[in-house]
Amino acid sequence: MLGTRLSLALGKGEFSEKVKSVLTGAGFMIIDSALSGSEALRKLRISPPDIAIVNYELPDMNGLELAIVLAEEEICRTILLVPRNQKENCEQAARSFDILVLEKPLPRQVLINAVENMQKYETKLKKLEDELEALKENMRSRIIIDRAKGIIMGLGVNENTAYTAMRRVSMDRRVPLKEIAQMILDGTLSWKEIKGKE
Amino acid sequence: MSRYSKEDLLKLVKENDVKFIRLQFTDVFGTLKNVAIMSDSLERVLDNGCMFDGSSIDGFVRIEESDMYLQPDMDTFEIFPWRPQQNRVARIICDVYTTDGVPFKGCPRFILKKVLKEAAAMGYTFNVGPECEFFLFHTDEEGKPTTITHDDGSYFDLAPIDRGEDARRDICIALEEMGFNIEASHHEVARGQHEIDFKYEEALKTADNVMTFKLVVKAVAQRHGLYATFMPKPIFGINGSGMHCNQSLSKGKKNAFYDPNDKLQLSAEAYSFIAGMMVHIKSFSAITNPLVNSYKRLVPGYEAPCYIAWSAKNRSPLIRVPAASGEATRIEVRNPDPACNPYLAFALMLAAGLDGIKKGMKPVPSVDRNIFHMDEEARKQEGVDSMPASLYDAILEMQKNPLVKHVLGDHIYDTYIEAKMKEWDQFRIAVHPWELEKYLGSF
Repeated sequence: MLGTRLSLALGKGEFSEKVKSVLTGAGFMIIDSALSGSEALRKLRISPPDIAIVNYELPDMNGLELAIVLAEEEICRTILLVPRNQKENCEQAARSFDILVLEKPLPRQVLINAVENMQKYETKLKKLEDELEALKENMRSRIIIDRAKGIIMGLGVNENTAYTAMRRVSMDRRVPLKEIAQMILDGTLSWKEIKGKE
Repeated sequence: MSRYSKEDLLKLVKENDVKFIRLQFTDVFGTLKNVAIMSDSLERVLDNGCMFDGSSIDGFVRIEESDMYLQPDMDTFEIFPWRPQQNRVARIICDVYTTDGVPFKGCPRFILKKVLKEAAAMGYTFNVGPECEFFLFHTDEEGKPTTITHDDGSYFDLAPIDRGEDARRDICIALEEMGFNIEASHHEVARGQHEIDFKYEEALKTADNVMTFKLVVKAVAQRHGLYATFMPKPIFGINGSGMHCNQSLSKGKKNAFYDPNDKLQLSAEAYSFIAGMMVHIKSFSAITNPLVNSYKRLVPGYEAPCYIAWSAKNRSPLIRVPAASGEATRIEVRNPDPACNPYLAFALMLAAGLDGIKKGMKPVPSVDRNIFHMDEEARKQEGVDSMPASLYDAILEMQKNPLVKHVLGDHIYDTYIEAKMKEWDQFRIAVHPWELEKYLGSF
């Protein structure tokens, strides 16, 4: 998943350099890095990445605190790298937040796979969210259209005739059917006007 | 009328999944302290208080008389909105009592309550609306604060110039969730400096609010990777941070400062209050401006007051009377800074004002010219005195005025002066970067 934008909050030292090298070697785009939790918070709020890789040991706070803020405020997804003695504690705390906890030391491929899988998950989630939104919008439109149809049918017109007429006006005026329906509901478009178009 | 009963609190704690409760109090020097209890201890603490070792708190007591009690003020219960939403954290502000069951003389909240009672006996309620300023700084690689500001914005700037806008917004939201009524927030004159104003309240509630405000600002700023400071003058050459205090007295529902027939719409009581404030203000500046650094702010050229005068026209005097505002008539005392202990500061400002009223004092005429353009002779002719130039001078002034000792009581008075003299001495004997820069290369 090249093109995934990563930010690193790993502190100083050899571990940080190794992680950076593994990720850049795997082709990921590292847009920013921070030496402390505070620096990470400042930078990530301004330029949120797709994923933040956070080290548990940071000089001014533990990485779990940083990861929770990033999750609570929906800034970005987080992979948290923790020492063995903190894994259980962090996994428990991270459960509510969709933070991925990985135990150090970790093989390079585990890290790469974690980033790729997280991005795939994120992409899939985004797709599902978009689909859901589209379905909701569809449902909202149908409700409005059905209510407008109902108003016309109340004048003694059958359903099919009402629907066909509304659709024709929508095509003639080049506006979405939902808008025509809303105009009927608002009283700004009457059956007489719609009929007149046929 | 009380906001909460004991049963209300226990119910709130259960319904809101509150697991930790911080019992908060303020020490003599204005530092917020707390001890956390678990929610199932709350009922016991509400009934019996919470014992703690007073000798470990600066300015409280010696080790041989150290047992103290925190007695929660139930009306101050609030849940912290920025803490976890499960196993939530709340706070209650407490008064400090001795083992004899009497209010501790070193409890600043008690001192303010004492003076408020005196005002109530005269028929007055004391209302205060503060305007707190603060800086947002970056931290270094170790997470320690620097003086690198988060932006280079200026007065009323917007994003993207005002990079603190998001932090300020989140601070306001958190404060509102804790019951504050936020009136305005904006970028201030100096780079990295901000101001958030909340609605005036009766003075005890306002003092509680000031302490809460400082906590919330720091906590939310930290979530933005920033360090918020209420240090009065962290950077030379730009404006410092003040805490202007808008204040008035009310009698029942009516504003006792308001007289529609006066040209400034000020009542006789308001004039006497101003007079009392002007007579005494120098002597409690060690309280309203408590740090060595406070006096680096009270210098000409940066909109801070350093001369004791009042005016309805001039924006720069120590006491300003905002333009005619009917029932919102008030005075604005501009010298306090946000490092002060608000309980003690409000207690002394009120006591000074009440002294003016009791004695029927009349203030000297207002000074509507720019005092900073006046020389010493001109200021003398207008009766314009100066604020103390340093913490040391402020302590000397404090020692001259019996009102200050009467209000603070022996315990706080003696403890405070001793501590501040030590602070001054530490500053006096330290070698500062300025000296190295000035002298090292030449001598």
